[in-house]
Order: sequence, then structure tokens, then C-alpha cells
Amino acid sequence: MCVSSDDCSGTAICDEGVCWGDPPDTTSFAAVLIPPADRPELALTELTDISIAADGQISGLQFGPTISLHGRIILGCAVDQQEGCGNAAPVPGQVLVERVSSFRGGPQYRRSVLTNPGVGVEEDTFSISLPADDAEYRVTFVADESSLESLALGGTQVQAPPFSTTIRASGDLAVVWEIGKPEQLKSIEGCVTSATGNGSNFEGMRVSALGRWSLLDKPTRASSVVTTDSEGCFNLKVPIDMLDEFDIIAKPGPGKTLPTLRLSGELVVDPSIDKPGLVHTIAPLLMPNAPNPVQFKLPLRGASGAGALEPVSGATVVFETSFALPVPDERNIEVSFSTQVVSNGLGEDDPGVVEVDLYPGSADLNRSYRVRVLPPPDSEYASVFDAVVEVGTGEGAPVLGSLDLQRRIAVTGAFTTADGKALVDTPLTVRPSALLRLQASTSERAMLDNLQFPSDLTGENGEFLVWLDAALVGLMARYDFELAPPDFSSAPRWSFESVSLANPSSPAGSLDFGSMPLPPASYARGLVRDLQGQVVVGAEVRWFQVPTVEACESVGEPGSAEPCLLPARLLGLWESDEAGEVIAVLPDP
Amino acid sequence: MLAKRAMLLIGALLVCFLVVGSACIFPPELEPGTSDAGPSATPVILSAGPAPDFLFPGPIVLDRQDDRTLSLTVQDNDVDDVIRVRLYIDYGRPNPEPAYAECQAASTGELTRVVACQVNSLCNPIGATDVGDHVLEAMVADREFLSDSDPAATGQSLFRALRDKTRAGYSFRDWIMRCNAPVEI
Repeated sequence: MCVSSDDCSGTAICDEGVCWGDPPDTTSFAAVLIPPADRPELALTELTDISIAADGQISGLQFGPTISLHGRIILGCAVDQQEGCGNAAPVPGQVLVERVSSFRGGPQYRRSVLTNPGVGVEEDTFSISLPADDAEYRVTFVADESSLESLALGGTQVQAPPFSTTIRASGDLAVVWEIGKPEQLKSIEGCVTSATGNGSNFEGMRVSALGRWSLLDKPTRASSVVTTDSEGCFNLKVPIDMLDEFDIIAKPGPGKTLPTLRLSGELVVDPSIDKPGLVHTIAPLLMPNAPNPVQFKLPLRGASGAGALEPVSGATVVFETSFALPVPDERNIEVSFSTQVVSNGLGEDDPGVVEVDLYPGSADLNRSYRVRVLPPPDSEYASVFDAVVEVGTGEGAPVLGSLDLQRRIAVTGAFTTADGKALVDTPLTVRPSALLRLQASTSERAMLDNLQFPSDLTGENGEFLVWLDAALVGLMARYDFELAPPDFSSAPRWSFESVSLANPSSPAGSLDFGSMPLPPASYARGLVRDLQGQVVVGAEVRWFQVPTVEACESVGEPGSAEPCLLPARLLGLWESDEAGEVIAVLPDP
Repeated sequence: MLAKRAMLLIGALLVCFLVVGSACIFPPELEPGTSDAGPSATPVILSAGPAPDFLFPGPIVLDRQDDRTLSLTVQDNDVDDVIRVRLYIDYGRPNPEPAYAECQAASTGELTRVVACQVNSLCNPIGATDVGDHVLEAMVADREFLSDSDPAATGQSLFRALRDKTRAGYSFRDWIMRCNAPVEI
């Protein structure tokens, strides 16, 4: 790029053929430093005080002091219990430590580690390093349900409900957390039965409870996942410290086809001093009567460019239906069935066909299914979020009418550097825009977060082609086009944000953006160091552009203490080399 | 910068070769027998992070719609290659299924680079009551992945077809993976 510093703009200097420095002066940056695996004493660290000198030298890339959260998580003992609990019963599971990011729009700070219950009785079953930032962290422990059987005594099912607490990272913390202590929990029991009263068909259902720790918290799992017995009955333990309203959810066990029952807003009062062993009994959850599932075939077809219909392979198809309650019930109960399959590949028998077990309709009335179709991200065929498929009895006619998909929009363009050179061999990733996610409801956002989106690699002239849905989850789609050019291509990582596909002047089915220039790049470099000032090899640096206060307030409440709704933009992801040096290629718009 | 780094690396390789032989640049934990023998150098995944969340061999535990970013450190002696990665869940156990994530990284001029992958859709094929172990497999390649409808994909493994297969370099690494139960909203 340069022979001497005279070839560089502004304050940049030329070194080894690269213009370093002349950093952008109107952009606010932050970084996340991730330690290499062989340095467990270092903690993932957020940096908000990094600076870039005029010559491109970065200062501030340093891991700070850390604290260690470590200890044992064990099964609590009942009053007269001597065996199978306490220090002799470490519980396997996942420890999750979280807090909001320390910079606007930053990703949530999150570390997780699995406990190691196989250690000696006095050793720690987990240890995690955190920055000594005096911040408050939420720590949650979720037991590994499949491993709890090893702790069972006398055939009793062991329950270890999720455990949550907060800590302050002001110094090393050695903990012993006893979970599942009877005095910390209250019991909910109930049964899943048929409308005729015989519960034996519902053995093996998986039942759990959802609750909240406070009104500000989202619903979260409040109990272990327990299995119904031969009578279809269950007993759940939930924390007394949670709010008293719970949702009880009964789902079919693995490999079983049954509806899911959800009882919402069940009030479970705490045991009192005069009723310490109070068990909350819920009235039976009645499973509707329904014929056995039948295998149906649903052909999935898409319109080719020439107009013919072709099989669509590799598409995920989700079927959902609801059942009426067998008898009126004042409680808030939903009975639903959902299943998901992938359409057959082109080389298989019945290409493009979905083979699925569904609850059939009756002789008088079809059963309606809401259907979502999600073709592979590189497919030309459009997603469907709200189709309705009517299913009859299936006798003699298990093949349903085909579901025909429209075509996605062929979106093209060509990326260039700021000075007009084609950006060759540059990965492009498309994602739903942050503004679209903000428009979506909670359930729509969950659907969006489940989706895969296309990627492409630019060609010899910087050109690209991606197939995009015009609408997502019922909303007019807007996308971020994210580019990660080669490091020394004179172009930084960049995102064209909130791109709309609405263009009345474009031919139907296609949209060309023409030339799309990226801003110039500014090159910076710096050494990653530990607290002792020694360089750290193999540290990962995630570099972010922080949204402005004005941008945050434009989508949220002005002056609000809530985290910014706009995400900080990831500008790059680099690893420190053998000398501990990392290079940052930043946009200088 | 690039020239200096390349000279340093060539020097290191020469020393390494003279001291311990030609295999010294390959980490011992690579899976044998899973990489291609084509003329292109084979890209290999050296490590995954952030640690400890995503370390090999796992188990790694994901939430539904998990918003974390998985970093894969990949080595490819063809430094100009674009690296592509696809992530599969229980591929061939029993049936081949499409990838549930795809990610790429352009050349950095270095032998190793970091590929960033989103993990939000990896739990999609896992049943809501299934909190057991599954196999998450990363396939890393130096050629473009093809759609199954592409004629050049004929004869290749389902959902894993590569352009210019006879010259492509590719390899695999696996984790044990679990998905937390969904939080029903």
C-alpha cells in the first residue's frame, strides 16, 4: 500500500508496506479480550478505555485483575438424611455467570462452566475467573438432569431445581452451595390423565415448572424436569424464594408423540409454620381424546426461474395445532402439538417430500395445522411463516396437497473499496437488521433468532448474489449486509445496515444495488498484555463500535437506565500472534 | 508486516523441520483419517473458544437461540484461501441433515485465522425435552459449499458437496453438545 509515509493520508505512517494510524476520530470503540485456553487465571475482560495514537499504536489492551469464583455444589440434606446428600453428593451441571455489558449495546457478559463432580470430597467442583470489577453478577446453576440418577437413593427421583444467586466481584469467593434442600423448596403434585380418568397412557411425560425470581425477571425454569409415573402423576419441587405463580408444562418424553399441556399462572403458596409439609395439589390435567397419529406425506414444491414446479429439499417444516379441552376448565390451560421435520433430499426417494406423523382429523372435521417452512439459507425458495394445512383422517389418502413456495428475491450488487477497487473473495453475511428485531414481538423475535440467513463470497468484480425473503415473521424484511474483507485489502469490516428490499423500479423477483463502496480502512496494532505486563499469545480481541447516546435514545426511552436496545457493531475479531501483537482494521468513514 | 511475518514463519518452520522433522507444525490432537488427500493444503481447526464454554471435546451447553459467537482458530497453509465452515448436528446419526450454521473468513495473510460462527440455530433440530448429548460437527473447507441442486454436487455427500471436490481440502472436528430446555415465553 505504501513505500513511505508520504503515501499515507493524515497522520498515518508507513511501515512494512502498510499505512498505520490516522484513526477515526468520531467513533467510540470498545473491545472484549478473551484469554487463550491455556491461561485460565485470566478472565474475559471488557475494555472501554482503549485508545489509538496517530501512528496506529493501540494502548489499553490489557487483562485486568481477576477474582476466582470457586467451590462445590452439592445436594442438600433433609433433616434426618444421612446418605446420598451433602459433601458426598456433588451435583453435575452448568454454572452460568452473567451481567449486562459494561458498554452501550455490548453483548451480555456471560461465562459458563460445567461442574466436575468426580473430584475428591474437599476439592472444588468448579472454578471460574471473573474480572475484579466490583460488578454484580447473576449466577445460575442448572443440574444435568441425565446425571442426577446417579445420586438417587432407593429409587427416589432426585430433584435439583435450578439455583440462582447474585455475587459481587470484589474478591475471591469460595462457596458451597447446597441445592434441593427441602426447607428451600415447596412441592407441586398432579397427574396427567385422559378424559376418561385412566392415567396409565401418560407414563414417561416430562414435566417442569416455570417461574420468576422477581417481577423484573423473565420466566425461567423453576424445577427439575421430572417424569410422570405409571399413573401419569408427578411431583415437582420449586424454590420458595421465587414468586408464587408458576406455569406447569407437561411434554411427551423423547421418541413419543403426544400433545403438550401447559397450565399457566398456578398460584402455589409457601408452606407456613403450622403447615411445613404443605404440598400443593393441582387438579388433573386432562389430555384430550384423539386418534393415534398417522404418517402423512406433504410434497414441498417451489417455482423455478422458468416457472416449473420443482421439489424443495432440506427445508425445515414445523407443524403446530391446538386441541380443545375435553371438559370446560376455569384454569388457563393450553393443549398443543408441535413437530418438526426436514424435507427429503434430491437424491432420496420422494425428493422434496415431508414425511411426518400428525394427529389426523375426524370423518366430519379436518384438523388444521399452522405450518412454517424454512428452506435452507442458500435456497431460492421463500420461507413461509403462516401457512394452514388441513389434515383429514389419512385413511387411504395419506398424501396431502402440495405446499408451493414462492421465490425469494435475488439480491445482487458489487462491493468496492473506498477508491473504487473491486472487493474480491470477501465473505458477505446477511442478518435481520437490529431495527427489524426491535419491531418484532417477543415471540416473533424468538422465531427470528432461530433462523439461518445466507452468506456469499464476492467474485472477481466484487459481485454477490443472495436470495432473501421479502418478509420475515410477517414483517417487511430489513437486513444488515455484513462484510469481512481480507485484512490487507484496504477495506475494513463493514455493515450496510437496515437494507430494505422494497424498490418499485426493480423487476419483480430481483433487486440490484449496483456499486456499494465501503469506507476507507484505518490500520492499528497493539500488544495484548496480562496484569504483569507480559504479552499474551493467542488472546482473542473482539472489537466493537459503540452506538451513540443519541442513537440509543432514538429507539428507547431518553435518559433511561436500561441497556441500549441497539447492539454495538462487531468491527473485527483478531487473535494476538506469537509476539502478542494484534492488528485491528477499522472503518474510517 | 506480511513479508516480515512470512519470513519469521518460514524461519521457524525450517528450524522445526531440522529439529523434529516435517510433522512438527501439526497439533497432536487432530483427528486422523478425516482430511482430504487432494493437492490443496488441508485447513484444520486448531481450537475453539471462548474457553471454557466451547473447548473441545465438550460437552458444550447451548441455550435455544443462543446469542453467543463461537470462534474457531483455523490453520491453512494456503494463506490466500477463503475458509468456510459448516456446523452439523448428529449428521448421519442416522440420517444426513443440512447444516445449522455456516460461516466464512477471508484471507489474513497468516497461516491461522479466526472464523466467527453464530450458534443461534444449533438447537433447532433438538427436541424440546431432549437435554441429552449430541454430536456437533464442524466441517472446514477451502472451497465453496454447493447447494444439493447444483449438478456439480452429484455423487457427493448430502449437504456437504464442495466445488472442485478433487482439489478441495477439508477436515472435521467434533464436540459433544447439549441444549438447555427452552424457556417457554
